[in-house]
Amino acid sequence: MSQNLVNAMADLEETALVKEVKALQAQGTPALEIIQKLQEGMNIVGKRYEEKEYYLSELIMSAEIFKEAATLLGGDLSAADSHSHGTFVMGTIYGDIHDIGKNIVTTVMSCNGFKVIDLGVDVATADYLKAIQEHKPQVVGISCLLTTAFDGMKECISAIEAAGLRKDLKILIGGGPCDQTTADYVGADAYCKTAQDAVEYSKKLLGIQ
Amino acid sequence: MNPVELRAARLGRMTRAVALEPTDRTPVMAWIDAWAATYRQGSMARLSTDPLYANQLILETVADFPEFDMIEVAAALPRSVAAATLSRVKVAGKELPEGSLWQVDEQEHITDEDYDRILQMGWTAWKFEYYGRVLGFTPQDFEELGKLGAIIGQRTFEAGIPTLSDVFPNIPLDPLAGGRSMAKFMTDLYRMPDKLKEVMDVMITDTIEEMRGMIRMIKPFSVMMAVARGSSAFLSPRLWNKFVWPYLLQLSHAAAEEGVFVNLHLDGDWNRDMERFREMPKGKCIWACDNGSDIFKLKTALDGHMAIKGDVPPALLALGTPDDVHAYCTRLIREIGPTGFILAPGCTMPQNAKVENVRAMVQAATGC
Repeated sequence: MSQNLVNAMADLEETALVKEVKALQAQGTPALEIIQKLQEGMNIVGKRYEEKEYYLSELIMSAEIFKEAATLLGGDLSAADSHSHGTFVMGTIYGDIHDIGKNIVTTVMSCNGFKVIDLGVDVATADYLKAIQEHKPQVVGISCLLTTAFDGMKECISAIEAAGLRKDLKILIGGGPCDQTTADYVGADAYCKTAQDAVEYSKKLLGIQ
Repeated sequence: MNPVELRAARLGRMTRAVALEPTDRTPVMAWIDAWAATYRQGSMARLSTDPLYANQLILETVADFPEFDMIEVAAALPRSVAAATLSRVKVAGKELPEGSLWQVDEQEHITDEDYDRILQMGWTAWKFEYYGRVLGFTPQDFEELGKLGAIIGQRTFEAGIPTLSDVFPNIPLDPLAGGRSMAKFMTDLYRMPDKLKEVMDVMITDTIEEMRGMIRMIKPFSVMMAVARGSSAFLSPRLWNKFVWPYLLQLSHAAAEEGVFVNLHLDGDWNRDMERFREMPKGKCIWACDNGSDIFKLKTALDGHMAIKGDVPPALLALGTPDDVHAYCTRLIREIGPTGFILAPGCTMPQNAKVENVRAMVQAATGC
C-alpha cells in the first residue's frame, strides 16, 4: 500500500494520496514512515522536473499536496528533515519583496530532499547571519528581482564573510535580472539561472548522486 | 527636423522593422520610466504617483537621447501594474523609501466565490468592482487618469517621440494568477480546471471587446500583451495549450484585425514553445525578449515571421562596461538583424543602468 502512496505523490493524484495517508494512519503506520514515502514521491517529482516531464506548475502542486498530507499527519515535518541531504537557507534580499522565484527554489530544493529554511522576503543581512549561525547550512541562496538589490546582495555576502561564516558555506544567487556578471559583482560562489541549477550545484557540492 | 518630421521618421523606421522590411539603421528604443528619475535625478516617489511629472522626466530624458526611435510608454504605470496583476503595488514615498522602484505585493485576494461571480457578472463588471474593493481605485481616479492621459499624449506627440504601446490587454491567466496568488492559482489549474476554463472564456470575450474599443479610440502603434506566469517554464504543455495559447492567439489575431501591431512582452523562458508563434499573424508582431528566452534560438524559430525586440540584459546595463554593452548589442544587430530587429533593453531599462552603458547601446545602433 505504501508504494501506492509514493505513486500518488509522484503522479500528483491528490484524492488518492489523501485516501492512502488516512488508510495508513488507520493501520497504525508511524508518521515517520508515511513522511518518508511522501519524500520518496517528492524525489520522483524532482526527477521528472529535471527531465522536463514536469514544470513549475507540477512542482507547486506537489508542494501543496505534500503540505496537505503533512497537515493530516499533524504538521510534523521533522521526520523528513532528519533524513535530508543537507540544509539550505534562502531569502529575498532586503529592499526587494518579490517571492515567486524564492518560493520556486525552496520548493524544488525541498522536493530534492534538502531541509529548507525560508527566511521570506526583504531579508536583512543580520537575519541571514543569524540563520547561518543557527542552522549551519551548507548552502545559502539569495534572490532578487530588482537590479537595485545587487548592492544589498554584495553587502550581505561581504558581511557573511566578515563574520567568519563563509568557510564551510557556499552562496548561490538568482532571480530575474541576475547573471554571471551579477555573481561576480556580489561575490557569490555561483549564479543559478533555474531552480534546478541550485539543486545540481548543491548535490554536487555534497557528493550526492 | 522639426518634431513632426522627427516623429514620422521614427515611426517609419519602427513600422518597417515590425513589417520585416529593410531599415536605414537598426531601430533602438527603451522603456525608461524609472530610469528617467535616476537620469534626471528626480523623485521616484513623485514619479510613481504623479503621471505628469513622470512624463516630464521621460521627455527630458528622451531629449538627451534623440536617437531613440520610440519609448515603450509615456509615463510611469504603477497603477496599471496593479490593474494588470490584480494586486496592490507598493510605491516609494508611501510603503517604500524614496528612491525605491514600485513592487507588486502579491496576496490571495481572489476567492473561490469570485470565480462564480465573474461567471455571473461578466469580467468587466467584476473587474471594476474588484478595483474599488481591493485596489482602492475610485471612479474619480479613472476620470482623472483619462484627463491626464490626454495631456500626456499631446505633450509626447509634440516632443516628436512615438510610444510603442498605449493599450494593454491581458490574457486571463496573468491577472488571475496575481490576484489569486501564484501557488493557489497553480493548484486551481489542477483542482478546478473546468471552472477556470469557463471563467477564462468569459474574460477573453470581454477583454477582446474592450481592446477593440480602445484601439479604435486611441489608435496605438501596437497593443502590449504582457505575459509572465504563462511562460513555457511555468506551465506543462498540457496546461499551456489549454490556459495560455488559445487566448494569446485570439487576442493577437483580434488586434491585427483592428490594424495595429502586437507587442508580445513575454517575460521569462519561452524556449519550448517558440515555434508555435508562427501561428501569429505574419509581419504584425513584435516578440519583446527580456533575456529569459534564448534570443538566438528565437531568431531561428521565427525568422521572417515576426520582429524581435531586446534583449540587452539588465545586469549588463547596471554592472557592465560600455565596451561590454557595445559588443553585445553589435552581436545582436549582426545576428538577430538586420531586418526585423529592434535593439532595446530586456524588459524595462534598469533603474540603476549606467548612463554610459545606455549611450553604448544607442551607439551600437546608430554607429556614431
